[in-house]
Amino acid sequence: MSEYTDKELIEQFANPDTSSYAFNLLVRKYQERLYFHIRKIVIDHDDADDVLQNVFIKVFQHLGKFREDSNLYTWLYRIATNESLTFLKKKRAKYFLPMVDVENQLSSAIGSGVGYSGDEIQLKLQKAILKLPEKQRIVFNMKYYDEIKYEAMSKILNTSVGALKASYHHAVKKIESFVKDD
Amino acid sequence: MGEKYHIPNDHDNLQKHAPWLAKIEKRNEFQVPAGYFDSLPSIIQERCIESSRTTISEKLERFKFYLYRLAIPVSFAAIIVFFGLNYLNPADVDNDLTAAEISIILEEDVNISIEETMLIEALMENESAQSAEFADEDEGLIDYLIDNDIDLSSIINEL
Repeated sequence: MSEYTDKELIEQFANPDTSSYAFNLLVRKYQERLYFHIRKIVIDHDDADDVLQNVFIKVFQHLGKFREDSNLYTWLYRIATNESLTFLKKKRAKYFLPMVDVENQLSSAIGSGVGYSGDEIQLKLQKAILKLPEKQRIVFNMKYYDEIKYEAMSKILNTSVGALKASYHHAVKKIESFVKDD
Repeated sequence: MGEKYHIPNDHDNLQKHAPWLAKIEKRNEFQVPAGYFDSLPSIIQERCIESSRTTISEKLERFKFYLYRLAIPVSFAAIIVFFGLNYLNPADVDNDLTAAEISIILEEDVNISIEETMLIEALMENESAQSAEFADEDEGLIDYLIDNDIDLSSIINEL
């Protein structure tokens, strides 16, 4: 989609004359990946839309200060992950819900079929994923669906590679177990 | 690394560790409204411009907020210091009664209690003041007698 590398986009963003254009290109380059990453966490489209817009506003506000020693993609993913987790935390606090109830709500949202077109098996898988603890769910999605390498994931989630491998392994085992029990 | 967390080195092997998961197709089944990604960049651009404006006005409001917060206690402290300086350090107040005030007191026959010691001291002061006055007068008289070579005994005889 974009012909520019991340480095070029950042340089163009730093120039006031090309700042808007560069940012527009950056949004177009990453919007889908970030959207689905967020969507898998918050499930609902409207919520994902809110979170995604907030993510890009934060990116716009801080891109000028972005240190190029870290990967732009990693940085964007980290913001998206943190914003999604913050959103879920606020949702729990707003409705005085324990974690389990939030996950049940999300599971019901998938089950209702609104915004989700998966067949029975895919639905079963999504519900099983939703039973995982929050962070473990994110690790599973990033590894299983996005096929992000552990080294990159480590920078995004600020967790060691070993811990991430363990988390993914346990997630896979739990999903198998949930599906068999269901 | 695997040993620390007790995970097998082939933990990625879904066929072995999660056969059910290995069988199913990886699909993204989340639906997105039509045209969502086409319109999103412009929506975000507008919100970013708005957030820039909001940030500037927010900073201004925050500055005003702290200014007012600071102004009130500073003003209050200044008022306290002002009154403290003026009323805790009394100026020279004239405690002496004026002649008019004394007359009023005497006319109204205000019962003033005077200590005896104070009265004696006042009388003694008055006597010493009078004797000083007379001493001055005596000295003047003596100077007159000396200057005019007048014999004191002759004056006494005439009396």
